[in-house]
Amino acid sequence: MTTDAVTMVCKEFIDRYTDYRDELLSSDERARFEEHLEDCESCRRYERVLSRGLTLWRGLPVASASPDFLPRLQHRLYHVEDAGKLSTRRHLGSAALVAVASVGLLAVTWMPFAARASIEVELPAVAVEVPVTFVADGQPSLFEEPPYVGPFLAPLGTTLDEPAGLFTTNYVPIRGDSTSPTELRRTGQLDESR
Amino acid sequence: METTPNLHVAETDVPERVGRQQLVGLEDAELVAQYLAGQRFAFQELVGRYQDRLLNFIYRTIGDRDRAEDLVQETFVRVYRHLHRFDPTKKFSTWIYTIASNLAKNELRNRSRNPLVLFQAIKKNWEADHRPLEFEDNTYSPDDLFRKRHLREKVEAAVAELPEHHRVVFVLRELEGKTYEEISDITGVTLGTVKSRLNRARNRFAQIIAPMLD
Repeated sequence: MTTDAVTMVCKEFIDRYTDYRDELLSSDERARFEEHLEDCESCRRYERVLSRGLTLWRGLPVASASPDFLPRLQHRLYHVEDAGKLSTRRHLGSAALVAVASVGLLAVTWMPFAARASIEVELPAVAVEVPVTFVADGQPSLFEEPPYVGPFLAPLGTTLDEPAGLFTTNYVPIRGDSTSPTELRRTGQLDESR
Repeated sequence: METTPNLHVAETDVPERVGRQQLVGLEDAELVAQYLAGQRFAFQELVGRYQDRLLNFIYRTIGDRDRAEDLVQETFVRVYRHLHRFDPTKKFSTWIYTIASNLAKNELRNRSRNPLVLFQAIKKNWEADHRPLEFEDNTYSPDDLFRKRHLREKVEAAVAELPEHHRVVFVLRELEGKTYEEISDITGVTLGTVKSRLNRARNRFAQIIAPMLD
């Protein structure tokens, strides 16, 4: 066998070694590989090293599960069961909630129709005399006494000891002629000219 | 149906299905059916069949025994949770190895992102290199024992050096003896990819260990 041929076959041998090792080759191809192995020291070494390495690796002590493996697993499986039951209960609760909500929604939807369908009875009008009271500014009121209004809700100028309109903005209407200067006043400033 | 996951129940609690003794002779898929029919010992039988196999598979893949045991537990929890979804026309072993393989791959990815875990792994390996020799067998001289242990550690380290996706295929084939089709199903890649990854893993493994074995 020439050097070129050996090199070529060596590459093929390495590339397809898995097929050879796992017996995936036809008998003819297998014979070619075996023939090459007889002639090639390099490929023989490759196979020897791999086989020995794999034997050593497979000979490593086999790990066994620790004695508490089963109790631990059982404990975890109990938790899985509990979680499953809780989840089922939660789903049942959600389903009940959805059902109640649906019934409520249906009731609300059908309420106008039900109300329309109900019998309406016309009652005669009843005249009632309302005792009218008057407050200090002369406006009639339905209340015996003016209702209590807190200082923060009371209109400005009525609860504070200041002239009415002191802190309110004076309304200035927009004039038609834009030539006149804009009348600017500070908020709350009294218009002395009027 | 009683679904309490009692792995240590009394013999009298066995429901009127297949007897506990008969479970040993059943196929995995039949055990799943028995469990779903109410035979609580069936799940225990499945755990007994797979706990050590999965432990070694994950241990050889991630290189951490304690963490491997946690992941085996997680595998069984997931199997238990989804047992009703198992397709009996498929192989149970492929299904459970797929779950275990995915957990192992996730673990490796998380480790590569977590520098603390990486540091702990390095520290652990350093401690292993410096622990005293155990003279468990008097027929070998201390030199022989040292060389043997050294070689084993180097071989183990050589496997750990393989890229993650090559390593999973390598472990499944060389340690678990899975067929290409099973590895393809477990890893979710094509047969051609399985073959290619396995060949590369073997070549790389041989390259790493060649200087030690010559």
